[in-house]
Amino acid sequence: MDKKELGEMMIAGTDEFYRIAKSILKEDADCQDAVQEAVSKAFAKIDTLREKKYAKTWFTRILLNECYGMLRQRKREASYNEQISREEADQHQYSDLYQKIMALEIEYRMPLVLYYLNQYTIKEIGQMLNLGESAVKMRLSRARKMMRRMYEQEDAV
Amino acid sequence: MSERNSWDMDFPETPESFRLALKQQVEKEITDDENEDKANAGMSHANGKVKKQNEQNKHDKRSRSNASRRRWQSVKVAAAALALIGIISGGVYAVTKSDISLLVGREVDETNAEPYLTMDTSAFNQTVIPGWPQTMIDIYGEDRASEIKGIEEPLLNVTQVYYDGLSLAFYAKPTSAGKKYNLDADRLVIGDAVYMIQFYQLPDEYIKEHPELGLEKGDYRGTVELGGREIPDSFTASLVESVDYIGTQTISFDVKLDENAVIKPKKTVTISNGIQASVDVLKIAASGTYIHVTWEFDESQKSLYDQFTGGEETDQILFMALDDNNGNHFTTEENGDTSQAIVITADGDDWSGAENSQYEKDGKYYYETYSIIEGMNQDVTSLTVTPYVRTGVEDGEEHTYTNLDFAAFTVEYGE
Repeated sequence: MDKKELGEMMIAGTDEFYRIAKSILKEDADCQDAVQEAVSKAFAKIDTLREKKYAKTWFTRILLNECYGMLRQRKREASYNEQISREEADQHQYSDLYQKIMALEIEYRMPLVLYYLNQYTIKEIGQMLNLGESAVKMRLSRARKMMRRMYEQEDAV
Repeated sequence: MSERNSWDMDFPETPESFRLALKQQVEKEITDDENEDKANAGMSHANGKVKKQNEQNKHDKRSRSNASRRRWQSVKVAAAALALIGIISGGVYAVTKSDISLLVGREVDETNAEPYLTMDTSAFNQTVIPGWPQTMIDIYGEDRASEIKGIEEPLLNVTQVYYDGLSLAFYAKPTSAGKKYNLDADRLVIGDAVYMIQFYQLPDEYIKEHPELGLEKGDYRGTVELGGREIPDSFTASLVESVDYIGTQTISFDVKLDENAVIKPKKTVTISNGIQASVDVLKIAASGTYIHVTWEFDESQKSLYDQFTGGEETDQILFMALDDNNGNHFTTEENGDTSQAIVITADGDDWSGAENSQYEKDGKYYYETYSIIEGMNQDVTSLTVTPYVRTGVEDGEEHTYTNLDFAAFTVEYGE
């Protein structure tokens, strides 16, 4: 894969990459920082990408690392969670769904976003998150249950 | 799945600023490289100083433009001001077993882990070479390797290494040169294979909360699971370390497996119905057990094989229940979160991780499954493997479990 093709892949996947970054970092400015860093790193490391078919998975791993790195640097690793306050939700008009996704632990949140929003297969998600396929399936299953529970609790109120 | 489409509507829309930022960065990367190529072509008659200056300009330019969006990196720059204290030598720190769990990243058997931890840095025989190690050159080719700019000055010192036959984990301290950069590594070379590893700078909280580890701000940690590979007891691991726009260097260190490690020989049994089953790999380590099992079916057993694979049933997952002679019971179902490293060799990439594979070969059908079992640390003389399948997971329904007793088997290892 040459640099032009890599660039095209990145631009074509803009929405997917935003969702990934936004699932970890709530601030759009941070998402931008992370994706720019990831793009820089991917171009610098393109020599190590042998097969074109892995390009998106490979870049997603780089982007995830950047996002996690930013969280760590900001001393929030303990929870790996960026909580959204009611004020922020109102200010940004975040949907109910997004607020609920962000309320999940990151280990459940990421498979959910990658599967439902970015339409990746279980195998691809496993490659991105360095998990076995059965682990991805289990996390998806648990995440769905947690989401359902949140909606049920809301309905009950 | 309709749920998938409806989610699209409810997730925050990609802001134009993000779209633009990504596009601009991509264009910048491509333009920078094109300019460099042109400059190099035009200056081919000039001496090396010109090219060097171009590279320096390119680096400076990138550094300047990146500065504003690398706000968080100021923390790392500040860290560079800290003095480097000497390399930790063996016995200086009283390492507890829970510390080893921290290093490995999951629960490690507290009574047996210590022999696998090395803190005597002289045992590592650390060496540094600029650029890629030979294995990377063999895999990726001379052309690509020639584009890699080497870094001569050592960037890291490996300070602690843990290896129990399954998990390899290490701490490394940046040198004064290394502290100037954000060090990046995702590849570790062992023999003829490249492993994708987890490697990152430790958060300040981690270091503050665990002073007993003898770590300092800016130290790094690397981890990789090696259970699924045939690796000699003693080997050299080469960490391919890169710094954006500056270059790459390979830091090699020796790793030796303690003689107490339990690695069982391959065992094959024929089950009463003619199915062949084998435990190809059984490594029992302080950080868990790695097991690889293969079932072989002939044509007459195809219907049994289909029960393994689930046919078109995509939400079926096969697990193994393991019962050992010590009275312990484990399942791979409870141990799905740790997978093998992605491995790259000259023969191809293996991105499968710790997954089941099913295939047909020479008229026979094979089902392979492997797993890392956390908490399985005790040596065994016999092990019973019972496969079972679970369905219903994809739609969050109640799970349905079915034992595949026809393929259950026991292997004996003797005393």
